[in-house]
Amino acid sequence: MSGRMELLSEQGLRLDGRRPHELRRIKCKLGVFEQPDGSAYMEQGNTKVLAAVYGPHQAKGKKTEGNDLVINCQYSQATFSTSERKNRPRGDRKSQEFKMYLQQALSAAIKSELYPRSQIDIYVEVLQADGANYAVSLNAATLALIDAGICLNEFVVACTASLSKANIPLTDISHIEEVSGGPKLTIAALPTAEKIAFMEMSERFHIDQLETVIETAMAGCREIRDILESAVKEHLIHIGSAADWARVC
Amino acid sequence: MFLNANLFEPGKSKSERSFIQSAVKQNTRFDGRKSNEFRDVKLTFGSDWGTVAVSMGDTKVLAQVSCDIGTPSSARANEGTLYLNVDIKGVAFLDEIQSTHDQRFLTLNSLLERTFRSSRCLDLESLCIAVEQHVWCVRVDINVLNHDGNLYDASTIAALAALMHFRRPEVSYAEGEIHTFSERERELMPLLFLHYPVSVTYCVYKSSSHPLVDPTLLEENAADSIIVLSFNSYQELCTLNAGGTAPTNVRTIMQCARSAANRSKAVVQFIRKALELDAERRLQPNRVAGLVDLLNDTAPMLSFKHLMEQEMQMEVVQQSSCEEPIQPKETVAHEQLHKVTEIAETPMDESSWLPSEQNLQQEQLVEDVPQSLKESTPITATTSKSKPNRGKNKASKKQQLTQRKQDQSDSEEEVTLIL
Repeated sequence: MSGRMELLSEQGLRLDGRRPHELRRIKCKLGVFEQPDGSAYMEQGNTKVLAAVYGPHQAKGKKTEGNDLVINCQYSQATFSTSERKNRPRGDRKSQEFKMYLQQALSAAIKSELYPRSQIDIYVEVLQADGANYAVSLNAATLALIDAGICLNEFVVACTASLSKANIPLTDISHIEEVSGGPKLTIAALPTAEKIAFMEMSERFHIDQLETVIETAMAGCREIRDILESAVKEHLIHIGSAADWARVC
Repeated sequence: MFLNANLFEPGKSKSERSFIQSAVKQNTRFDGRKSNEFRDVKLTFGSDWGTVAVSMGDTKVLAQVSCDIGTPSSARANEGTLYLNVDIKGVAFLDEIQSTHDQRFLTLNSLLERTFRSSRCLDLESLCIAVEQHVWCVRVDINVLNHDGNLYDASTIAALAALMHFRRPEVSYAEGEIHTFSERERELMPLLFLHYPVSVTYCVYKSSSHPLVDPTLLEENAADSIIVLSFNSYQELCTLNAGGTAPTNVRTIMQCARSAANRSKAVVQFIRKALELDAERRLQPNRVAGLVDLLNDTAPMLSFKHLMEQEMQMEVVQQSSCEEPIQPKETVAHEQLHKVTEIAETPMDESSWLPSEQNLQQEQLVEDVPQSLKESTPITATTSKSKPNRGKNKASKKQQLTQRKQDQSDSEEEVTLIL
């Protein structure tokens, strides 16, 4: 593969017309399903993710080992989510990895001491994958957890960042920017506490750029957190109002 | 009985965990290392090209590289393929709960893939024989022989050393036919690298803000978060993976990153030197030891601490091993007494494959230099870990001081040029 293509044009615009520090358009909705205890739908640009949460309930099977909370995640990509039909929606290596990463990030956010000997199941389904799949899944999972009423230490928000050839950091990578070969850093953070719950990167870039890219991703996380918070508040107002009593359960 | 199964692994019980947390708070480790001290890395190359056994403390890993001619993927028609696989079935604890086993195995594999494949460390285009038809498929198989923590580092070092050690046969492609030359017809060729990545692992605990480097199994299982950083010798970050139940702040990660970068550079230099020493050994007319000798502990191990002590003293990037062999013959006798533990594995009696002096020679040549050059150029932070060894070697070194000094002064001039 011959070097990566230029992600940033001379006018300072990216391939989809965004500025380097701009996030894609975020739309989210909580409580989209009746059956699960909590659910959420999140769109970030063209990446669309559904999340459902069941729990807390009694831990089943082998997982009843300790007295701790068991967080069980499942990450699945619909067969129609990618440009070529995905033969295996879940269970392949990538999904297993993301499953682990989700578990790691969420275990830093959920107040486990309040749920001893319990299990929380989180199912994430990617309907359309256009870059930052893991990040959007985590954001959707956070919303679903809030909808289920599970106590969190804080919002756990994920964002991606990359570098253009001229070493300008870019926030929120889309699929085409991902495959062009540039480095990609994904951070799942607790924005208010300014702590990182999970971080992962691929490709390579110089250590001097590392700090800038991390900062960029953290700034993206903070922005997303504000958006999520306003979405949660809106949802609460909606279900608390008289017009929606029939739906509250 | 089986419900308490995963307590067989050290570090999983609550009491062990709380003990380690308080130990980390007081900045003490069970093997007496400091929080930023690494275990010694020992490499043993086998008789086949591309086989290497790495041991870091009790963690032992074996890597083997093999290659085959195959067809390329349609997306990358002009590139060879690299496939890495880690097998930890050998050390699957009988009590492993399926999920933990899979997780460890999965993270290990994904990390290796990202470090070597995604970061494009091998020049895959050079492995192409005929576009869209024939390419070399290189395969690295890593077997974990013993797990005492920090499998990530051991595996990356093993994979890198094995790939650097490996030689593939030369082929000619004419009129749609591939002709592979055997070893006797044409010399085997090494693989081409774009960069050399090595990983460093840190463990973070909730009770303390200082991460521990190079954890043992006990420390790893009791850790709240694990940070794995892969740097190459150009200080580029190849892989980064940080996660766990204890969230970390950016500053800690950056600190880890900086020290990891230095460490990676040192390890790559070490591997290079070890390869040179191994190449010399192969030139000896005697049979080259295979890895079977590992069982009897008769295999020659190239120890990081020893090879790197010189490095730090002289800051020489390329150790010209030819200067060394002249020296040690006189000092062989009393060197035996002052053998530092790491190289004690090489016995002087039963090794039929190398005369004993030569054996010691290899080790001595690395011991010589450090003591004589104690006073030389200021060293980077990495010297801290060699200090304990230096003390042990002091007594034996005085004789060589005078001889070495002259040589060193020459090489010091080289030093500045190279760097």
